[in-house]
Amino acid sequence: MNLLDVRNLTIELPTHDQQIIAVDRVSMTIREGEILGLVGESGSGKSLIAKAIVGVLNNRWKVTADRMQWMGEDLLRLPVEERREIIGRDISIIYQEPSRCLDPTAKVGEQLKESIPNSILKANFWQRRKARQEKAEGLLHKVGIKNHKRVMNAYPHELSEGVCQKVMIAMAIAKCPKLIIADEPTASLEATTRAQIFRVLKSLNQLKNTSILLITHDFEIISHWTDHTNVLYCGQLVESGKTSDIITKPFHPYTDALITSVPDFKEATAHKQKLVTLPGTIPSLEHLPIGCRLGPRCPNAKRECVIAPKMTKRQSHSVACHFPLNLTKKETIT
Amino acid sequence: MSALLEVHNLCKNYPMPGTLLYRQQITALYPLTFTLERQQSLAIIGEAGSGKSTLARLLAGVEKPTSGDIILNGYPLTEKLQRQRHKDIRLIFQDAKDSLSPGVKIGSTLDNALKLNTDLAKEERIQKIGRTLIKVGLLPEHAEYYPHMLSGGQLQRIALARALILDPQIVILDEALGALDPSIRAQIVNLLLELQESMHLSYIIVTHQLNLVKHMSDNVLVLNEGKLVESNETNRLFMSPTHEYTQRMIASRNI
Repeated sequence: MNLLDVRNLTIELPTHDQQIIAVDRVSMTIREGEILGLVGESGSGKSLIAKAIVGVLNNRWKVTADRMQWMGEDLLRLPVEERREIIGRDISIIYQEPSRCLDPTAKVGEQLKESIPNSILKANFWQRRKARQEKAEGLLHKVGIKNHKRVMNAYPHELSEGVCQKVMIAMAIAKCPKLIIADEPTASLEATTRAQIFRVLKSLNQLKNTSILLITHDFEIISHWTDHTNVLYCGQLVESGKTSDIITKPFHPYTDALITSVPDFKEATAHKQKLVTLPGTIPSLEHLPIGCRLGPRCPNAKRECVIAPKMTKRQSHSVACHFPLNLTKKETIT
Repeated sequence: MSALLEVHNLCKNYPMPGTLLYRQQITALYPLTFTLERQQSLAIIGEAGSGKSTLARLLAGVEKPTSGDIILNGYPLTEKLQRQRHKDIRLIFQDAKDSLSPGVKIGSTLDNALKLNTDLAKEERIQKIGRTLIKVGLLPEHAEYYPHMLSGGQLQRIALARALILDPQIVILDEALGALDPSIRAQIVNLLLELQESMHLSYIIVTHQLNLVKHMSDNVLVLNEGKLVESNETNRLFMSPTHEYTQRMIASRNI
């Protein structure tokens, strides 16, 4: 069953001389119990999408979509109060810089306890205090923090980034959400802590059937942990499909470049060998090229590329490109 | 011929705050010995708090070592040779955006490095800036830009230009590739490898991204809690790590 179904999500920023389209008609669906990856570089609008889903974007941004359905209810057409209630109950978000997202003036334990709603504490009001304390300790154990006493009495700055991130996850899972949006959960972490965090998320996914939307720029993480992947470039969705399909047979030149730019990822690279890259840099939002936004950097761009390509689908693997790669003559995209 | 850089028993202690007269000390880096040859890359890996950044700062002269010697080209680096050291060993920081002053043009940033360390005339300096910018894949016109007008990858190139403008022998990259996007990162890696060929540079790469270490470096030092736990050639280290800590790190690479 589709948990979240987004069609043609567009996020615009009106400025005095032009309308900046930061996210251009992005569609995606998250099924129950699925880990969906969203890959993109900085400025591709991946965090904007996460924020648009939970509705915490600044008022200046204009969010439109054909539909944004959460279990059959269109979030964009609901009154704000109702929408907030649904999101508060079912969706949690983990931000990328945990030590900056926690309140620096309150102890970690207080913040954690605050995030546990009354409804899941099966206790009478005089027993709540104790139940809440126990629940908070249990949550910390669940995310792999053994020394709960020390952590709960500490302020965020006293803890390391990895522990802060685990606390954030504990806060996110306190209400047993149906969907966790993880926005670069491991950007600032070491390799060993990173593996721990992903193991916690994966176990949640398997034990509680929680869906996870994993936002990152690292293809290695995507390949290890996700079932389906969407690749985003400058606010346009360029490719989506099963992760294994995308990695073995990328259709879009951008995806291909991302995969081959990681040494030793798909095929072995010789020591100190030149890596494959796309020329140029990511365009800024004010100077986006028309048509396919990869156009100026794309190795096989032709005249047709000034018209934005539509999403075309082949089995469950879709791509937005006029000249997709890795297709034999017979297999034309329909 | 002796090695380009030799480090003997380098060690760093910090006084511990809160103790009486700061008499107790924390050892950030236990005595450490290694050498670096010309046109080779040395990677330093370890977790946060393992002392890898401390080592980078000691080598660049940002901090003074508690004891031990750093020998460059056969001469021990002392106070007298400080100026030579600033020329020969250059440091690039993690966040290019933060390490460049926002109110100063790129040209003046680079010019300051020349003014302080060389006796070139104004004309020569301008030419040199132009040449260096071309070397890192930018245009001489970029000297007139302010940092906010450039993208992250271009800023990292500027930071690299600032390091290269004094024709150094060793460039220390302190997590300099961590904050870049993957497609830009590959460009910078290529640029670094090219420059290593053409300018005979040596790199000291401080990072926790193991696949880059494997790709770029010739030798690896593994630090844990300030102690050197293992040092070996890159290939051998990745094929058969001997220390348990290294094994764990390499295993977690393939999560």
